[in-house]
Parts: sequence; C-alpha cells; structure tokens
Amino acid sequence: MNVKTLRIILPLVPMILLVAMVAAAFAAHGWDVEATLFAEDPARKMENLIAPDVMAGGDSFKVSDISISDDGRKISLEVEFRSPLNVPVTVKELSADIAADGGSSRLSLQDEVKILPNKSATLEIAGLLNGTPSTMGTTQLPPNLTIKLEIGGIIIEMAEIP
Amino acid sequence: MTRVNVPGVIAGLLTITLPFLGAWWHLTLGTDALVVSAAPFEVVTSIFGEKMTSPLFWWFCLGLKLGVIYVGVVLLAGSVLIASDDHTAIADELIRFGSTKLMYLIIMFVAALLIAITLANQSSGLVPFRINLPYLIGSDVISASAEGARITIPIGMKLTWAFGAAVLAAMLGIVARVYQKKM
Repeated sequence: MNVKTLRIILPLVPMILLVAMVAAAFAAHGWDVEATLFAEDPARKMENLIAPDVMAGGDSFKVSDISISDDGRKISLEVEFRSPLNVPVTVKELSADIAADGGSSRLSLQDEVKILPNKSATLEIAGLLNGTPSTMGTTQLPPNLTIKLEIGGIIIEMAEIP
Repeated sequence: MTRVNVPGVIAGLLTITLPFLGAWWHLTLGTDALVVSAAPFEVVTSIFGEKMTSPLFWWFCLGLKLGVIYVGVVLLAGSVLIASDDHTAIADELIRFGSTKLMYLIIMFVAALLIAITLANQSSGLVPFRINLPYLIGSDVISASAEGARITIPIGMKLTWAFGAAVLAAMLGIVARVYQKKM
C-alpha cells in the first residue's frame, strides 16, 4: 500500500463506520423511523412521572383529623398528602392559617416528611390557638396553605393552594 | 537504540482506552432531577433516574467510539511501524493522521458545550427567570417565580478525570507528531 492510497483510506474509515452504524440502527429497528429515533415516547415517559389519577384531577390534600390540646392552647391538623409524582418527594415546610373566633392561628409542619413515589403520608401541622377554630369538623383545607417540596433536589414552594 | 515513537505509543494506547473511561462532563439539576453525562461519543440523560435514550443516537455514538479507537490504533501502528526502515513513509502518514484527531475532538466538544451554555445564558430575556449557568465547571441556582409558586433549581457542572485523560492523550499525540519529525 502506498502513501497516496493510505491518505485516501484513513479518513474514509471513520465516515464508513458512522454511516454503517446509522444504517445498523435503522436495520435493528425494522427501518421504522420513529422506533429508531425514540426507544419510548418521551412525552409518555414524562407522563409516567405523574400519577395517572392526579392527571385526572384528584385531590392531593385532605384533612384527616383535627385535635386540640387539653389546655385548649394548641391545635393540630393531620393532613393526608398523596404524592402526585412517581418520584420521591420530601415535604420540607407546610403551613396554613386557621380561622378562630379570636382571630387566626398559623399552623406549621412539625417535621419534614419523605413520601415514597405515588404514596400517601400524614403531615402534622400544629400551632397555638386563639379561640375556637371555625374549621372544626370539616375536611376542608384551611386557607393560605403554603408548602415547600423537594423533588430530586429541586425546591418548589407554592402558596395558597386551593 | 529503539526507534519506536514512545509518546505516540502512549498516546495511542490512551486514546484506545478513552471510550471505556466514561463521560467527560456532568451536568446535574437538583440532585438527580436531571443528570447529563456527556463525552464526544456518548450522551446519557436521565430524569429522576429514568434514562432517556434514542437508539439512533446510541448507534451513532457507537460509531464515534469505534472511530476514536480507530484513531488510537492508527497512531499506535504508526508509532511502532516507524521502527521498520521499509515503512517509514507509511508510519509518518499514520502518525500525521492519528496525532491531531483527538485534539480536534476535544476542541469541538468544549466549543459545543461553551456555545450551548452561552446560548442558554443569553436566553434569559426569553424566559421569566434569570439563567446564569457556570461555564463547564461550577455551580449556581436558577430561581423562578410565577403566580404564587417559586421553583429553585441547583445546577452543577464538572469535568471528569476522563476529560483530563483525553487532554493528556491529545497532548501526547501532538508531542508524538513533533517527535516523529525529529526522528
């Protein structure tokens, strides 16, 4: 082999390799362009991160219990939170205002809670009470609910969740 | 006295191993919300641990990996073949071809990343939040607020030791070319 031939062949080999690999990709997927471009529909993969019934509009929050301490100074709400995601979520902060005849009380999450993908967890929010709360006996969320979530290291803070 | 081009042999062997050393650069959003591990011959993207793949891209990257191995083999062959007086011209040609390709690959890879980061930073006017991404290495935080919601995304970028190995191989390739001319 002389140098001139080598000079032509050397750069040709990588190009042939690339073309052969692209052809192999299509051949391996029955020359189906969509199947060759995407192993799985990216939109469907993203949808899979969100629980299907939440996509349909299911409620994530529900008050499951309200209790007042014996001395009547502290109120606790147990809020059931169903994770709308198929990835682990940590509730770092949760707070809400609860109306009482003497004004309003600010309730805050006692400890941050880790929730497994698509699972529920009970969050306890508590605060000092000023009078009789007007939400006693209901499962409605108190107003001015704010929440701080951590999802995969991303912090999401939401205020006044309806 | 041996007439083997030693820098070329080392550069060739190092180049052959490069596709097996993993990604050259990592981009992380959050902790594992989005992880991009990139090299000129592979880009692995995972969202919350779910890998996003394209068969076509995978095969294309396989071609690039084989191409890098091919460049390493060519450089190695030229560096060894120079010992034979009958094949000096061919060895010269092999080293001439194999010695610079990795450097071009590194330059293109770094340039592509810098262009992508610069475009992302320039796009701050188009999106409702400030983007100030670090250039190749470093960390920052993107924050956005809208209608009572606020999102904070930590961003981290780092070059890996595999990138260092690639730079070393490319430098040795250049040294091999200069050394070849002096032999």
